[in-house]
This record gives sequence, structure tokens and C-alpha cells, in this order.
Amino acid sequence: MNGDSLLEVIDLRTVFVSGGRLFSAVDGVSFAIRKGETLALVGESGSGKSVTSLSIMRLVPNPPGRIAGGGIFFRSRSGAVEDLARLPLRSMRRVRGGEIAMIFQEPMTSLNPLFRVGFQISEAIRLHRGLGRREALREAERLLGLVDIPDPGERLWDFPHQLSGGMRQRVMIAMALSCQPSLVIADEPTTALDVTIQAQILDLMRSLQRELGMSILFITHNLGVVAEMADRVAVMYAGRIVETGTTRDVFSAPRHPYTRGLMDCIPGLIREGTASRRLYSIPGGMPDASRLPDGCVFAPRCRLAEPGCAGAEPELAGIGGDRFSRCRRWKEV
Amino acid sequence: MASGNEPAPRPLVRIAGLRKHFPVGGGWFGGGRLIKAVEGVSLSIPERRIVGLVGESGSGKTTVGRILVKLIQPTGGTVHYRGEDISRLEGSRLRDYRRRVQMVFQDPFSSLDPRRRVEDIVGEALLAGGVGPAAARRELVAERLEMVGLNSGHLRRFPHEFSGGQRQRIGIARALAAEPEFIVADEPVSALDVSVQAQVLNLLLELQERLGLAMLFITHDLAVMRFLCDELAVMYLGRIMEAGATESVCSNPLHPYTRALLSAIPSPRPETVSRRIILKGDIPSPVNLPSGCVFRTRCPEARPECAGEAPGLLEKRPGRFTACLLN
Repeated sequence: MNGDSLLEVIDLRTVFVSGGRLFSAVDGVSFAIRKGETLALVGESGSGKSVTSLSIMRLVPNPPGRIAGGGIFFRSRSGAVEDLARLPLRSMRRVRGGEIAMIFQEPMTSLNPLFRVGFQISEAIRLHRGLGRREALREAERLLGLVDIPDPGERLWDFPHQLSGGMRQRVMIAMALSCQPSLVIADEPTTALDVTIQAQILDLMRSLQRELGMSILFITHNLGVVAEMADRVAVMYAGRIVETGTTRDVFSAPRHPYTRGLMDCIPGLIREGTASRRLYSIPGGMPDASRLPDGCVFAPRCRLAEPGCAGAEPELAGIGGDRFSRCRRWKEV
Repeated sequence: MASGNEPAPRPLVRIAGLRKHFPVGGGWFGGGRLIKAVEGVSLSIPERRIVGLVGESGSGKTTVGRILVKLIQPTGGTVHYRGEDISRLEGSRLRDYRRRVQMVFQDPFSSLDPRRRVEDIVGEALLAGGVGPAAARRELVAERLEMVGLNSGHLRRFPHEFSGGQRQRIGIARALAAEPEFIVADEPVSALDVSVQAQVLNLLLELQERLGLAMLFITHDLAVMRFLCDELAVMYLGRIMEAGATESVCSNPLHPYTRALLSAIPSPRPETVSRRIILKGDIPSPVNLPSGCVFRTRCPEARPECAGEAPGLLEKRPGRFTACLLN
């Protein structure tokens, strides 16, 4: 494992059984996250981005799913490198929450509606950090202040339903940070929020990262959010990474037709001439994971596809610098 | 498209002083409080134009849409359609209104009856409009499906056999079945993936141009709104904060809320990144509204006088309306 890497996922394959058939939701995914860095996994529904994050946390529901191959190498606080794909579940419990924390899209479903938020945060602190009841509660109050919740001492006694969506997401972030994780996995953390509240939460996450230095794996379908948050981006399609590089490079000159297509699909904020008042759209839809096309999985929807694309599936190949593309014709994108 | 030398189209829909209050809490005997979901909204929708109604959750944009299609009754104010007060429509005139005004819903998963075939879902409005016999209806339904990029092979299928984008096409075909003049589209693309969203937006635009429809497009997504709409109205807590021609408002927003909304959209195109205005605090509860201007509790420019009387929506420049004391 590379010296400055916190996490290295190598050739991950996660499979599901459905209707008596086996299919790969994630197939040969590799990426690394450095210390203090934000990597975004971006893709549409069915791209495998959430299954990748659940695999890292070993939260893939089994059955029907399981990790079928590859490694998830994580540098733990002690400095030892562990393969999370093979770690016994007992040790995984120490990693989850303690070293890797997760923030989900819908905070209402990830908070327990029956307990006050102070109790929920302090419970995690007592479990992972061995603090007493009173100390843990004091720490919970400090964390609520850290995520800019007004009157944190009072909010400890609120139930989740008494808080707004934005406040609940702040509570989730406070909980995620309670055990000083070195990696935070944020799975569409602002998708359910209004745009002005989303701006607040993204701003909060950036400033917390500057302050605390954790790495973030940011999972989203929103390219605008990626541009705002991530140092590097990996674009996923049908269980594969099709392009990766620094966010700036990928967005200024995409090197995979899918990335280019995704960017062209988004209505620009500057409206071009009225003559071409149509958006570019990628024809068709995401293929069924159990019936993927031969060769390049994107070829049936690709504007650059040629007969050769139906042959062997292209590898995610280096194209210079820190950039990789899974397209034979990347130079023409 | 709005252009200078074209005569302004007649208003098809004219909304004046619209209010809708919902009771919350309390029992049968009152004592509960009121959510003022819509409070004094006035808006005109011209023929053959797409007007965007933009706002965050709780802004009342969906409530306005539901009043227009007569799913709910307003508490006060009026809606005139081609000069007729829609609250006074009865009998055949009401049926005619319900045919001419159709809605496309947000969620393509819950807005189609899972036990009915596409043919029956799309054909229902025809049946209600007295189009018969069945063979003629089927032919019309097949025609509508082709209009939205599906085909007659899909007639006998059930909604679960379709993807999200295809279901939204079915929802659009259903709305178009009875040849409406006016469509209320409530967040029709926000449940879809971006690549599919672009397909559906293009389809809506193409149909609107081809059939000469007027449309009220309800959305929280300003980028989508800017792409699609000729005019727009920005709502916040039941009131219109700003209204005008889309390009004029987006390139030079007058209301501080519009400015904040526009600046909050994350964009992957580096050239469009503007100075970000991050609003403080949450959207207040519509049960307990601030006095004066409802936006003043989050407004970066608020002054003491903003707590006084609520500012009305005034024409500050030709064609540009804003409800702000300061701008």
C-alpha cells in the first residue's frame, strides 16, 4: 500500500443473487484515498457507487449480496494495514464508527426516532471512547456546537422529529465525527435538502475537514456538488469506474464519453442561443446488471462507439498524469 | 420565446391574491393553528408560454399548482381561466376545464396505478371525455404514446415494467391524452437521473412547441428552470419574492433571496462559479411566520424596517416585479 494512502480498494467485486442469477453490482473497482483528501464517486442510479461504499463498511446485505473478490486495504489508527474485505466482523465493529464513519442521505431514517439526540450521540462516544455518561454528554454538546447547531445544550434534549432536515443532517455529522474517524463516507448527504441548506452543509463539511483533517469519500449523483467538494473524482457506470482524475482535469476535459455526456446533460446556467434550445441527452438507459453488453458496457449508448468497442472490454488505463479512462477512443472525446 | 417585437400573448390564466391556509393540530372544535401555505399570490400565465414557479420546500409552489388543477380549493383569491372564475365552473363547463387543464406529477412511481395497464391509464381521460368506441380510444392512446417516444407495443403493459424515465413519459402521455391547453408540471424531472432528465425536458419542450401548450413548471432546480421557462416567479414561504422574464431575472436578480438561490447552485462548469451567498439558519415554519418580510430572518441585507409591514410585489422596472423594501 502506498505510503500516503489511507484506503486502497483493489479490484473489488461485489455480487448479488437475484431471480436465481448472479450478477456483479461492482466489478473490478480500484481507487485510493489519501490522507486528508476528498474523493467523489459519482454516477447515476445503478452505477454501483453506493454498493462500493457499503462494501467498504461491510454493510452489504447478505444474502443476497456478498464481496466476491478484491481487497479493501485500510490504514488503521495504530498504523497497521488491514484488509476490510477479510476482517472478522468483531474487528469490523471497531472500525465502523470508530475509524470509518458514515453519513447517509436521509437523516430521519438513520436516527432513532425514540431517543433524544443527546443520548444517541453520547451512546456512540461511550461505546467507542469509553467515556462516562456525564462526560459523553458534555462531549455530545461540544460536537453539536462544532457543527454550528445553535443552543447545543438545549438541542441535546430534542427528539429527531423536532429538528429540521438541515439540523438533523448536522446531528448526523456530529455523530459521525464523535469518534474522530480518519475516513468519513458521505452517501448523498445533501440530496434530500433544499439548495440553500445544501450550501450550508457543504460549507460545514469543508470547514470541518480543514479543521480535523479527515479524508472524505463523497458519494453523489450531482456533478456540481463534486466540483464543489472533491479533490479527485471517479465516475462510475454499470459497476465500473470509467474515468478518474483530479476534479479540475476531469471536468475541464473529460476523457470518457459517459463523463462528457453527463456534463452535457446538465442545463447550463448560461443559456445559449435560442436556436438550439435542446439539451444533449444520452440515449437509452443504464443497462441491467445481469445482462451487460459484451465489450465496453457503455458502447450501446455511446456517440463514439465503433465495431471494435464490442470486442474485449477496455481496461481502466493510464492516460498520463493522475488520469485514467476506460475508453479506447479517449483522445477523441 | 419572449422577444421584444412579438406582441405579448393574452393571459390564459390569471391568479389574483390567492391564499390557502391549512389547519394544523387542534381538534374538531378549532383552537388549532393555521399553516399559511399560500398568502397573496398573483401571477399571470400567458398562452403558449412556460412559466416557472421556483422555490424550496414549504414555499407553497405545489399548493398553487394543485389549486390550478382544482385538486384543492383556495381559502381566498381568484383564478381566472380565459376570463372565467374557475371556482364558479359547474357541470359541463367544469368537465371541460378538467379536460383542458392537466397535471404531470413528480413521482413516476406513485402517480401511476400499478394494477392498471398503460392503455387504461392513458385512456382514462378519453373515456371521461366520452371518446368511444374502445377501438378509437386505443388508436388515440397509441398516438399519444408515440408522441412521447413510446409505442403501441407498450399498450398492454403495467407500470412496473418501465423505468423511471419511461414512467414519466407515460404520465406525460396521460396528461396529453385529452388535448389540453394548459399543463401544470410539478417537479416532473426531479426524481430522474440526469441523463434521463435531459430526455424528458427535451420532450416537454418539444411537445409544448408543437402543441402550443401553456405550462406552469414547478421546480426547486434553478438550472432546469432557466433552461425551460420563459418567465419565472420565485416563491418563499407562500409569497412571490420576485417575478419576471427568466433571462432578465437570472442575469440580474433584484431580490436578495433570488440572489442567494442562484448563487447556491453547485455547478460543474468552473466558468459559472459565482460568489457564494450562504444564508444563515433554517426556513422558518409556515405556522410561525416572521412579521414584515418573511425572508428578513435569513436575509443578508435585512434592516430594522423590514420587520414592519410586509412589502408588496411591485413593478420596480418594466416587467420586473420584486417584493423587497430595499431593492
